[in-house]
Amino acid sequence: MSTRISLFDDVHALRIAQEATVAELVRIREALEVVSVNIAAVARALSPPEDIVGITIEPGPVTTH
Amino acid sequence: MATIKLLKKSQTRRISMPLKKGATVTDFALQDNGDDTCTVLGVDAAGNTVDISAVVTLDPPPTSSDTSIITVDPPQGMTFAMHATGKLSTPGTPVIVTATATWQDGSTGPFAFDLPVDVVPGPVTGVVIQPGTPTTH
Repeated sequence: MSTRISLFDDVHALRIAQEATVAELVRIREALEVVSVNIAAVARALSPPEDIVGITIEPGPVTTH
Repeated sequence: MATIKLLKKSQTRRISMPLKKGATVTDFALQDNGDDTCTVLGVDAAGNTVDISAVVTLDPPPTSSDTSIITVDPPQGMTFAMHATGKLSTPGTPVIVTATATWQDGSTGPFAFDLPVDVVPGPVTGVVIQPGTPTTH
């Protein structure tokens, strides 16, 4: 599964698109030494809603008045 | 191997992209005495719908571009009701019902979606005589 992860600090954002495990992200954090990565936030970012790119309105059955 | 791209924070704000590229929105037809309950769903990159009720609110509330033709109730969760007032919409000019989903944690969005609605006449239930302009002889 392809995942997209956004990490933020005060100034910059890192966008990492890869098949990554949390352990790999920890290694990335150590290698970068740029920002403090919140692993809990990373875990949330790995959840399916990250993939949402828009919304839609789905009408239900019509009734009359 | 990880691929890392550095972006400024301002570059990460998403724009609304409610449908897959190239997809078209079909007008929804509502009878002039019709009511309908609508549900707002997320759309993923593949165009599939996703329940987002746990992570978003409909804020600002859904709106109608012409409340003399369609009114919209305040939302309850991810659903809201719309009601035809009895007035027909102009053919080719649908009323636009707009919903905006705002992520509670601000992690993505907000996303908006416009649903075009045509308000159409219902089945004939009687007749009426409509006099024209009188003339003299």
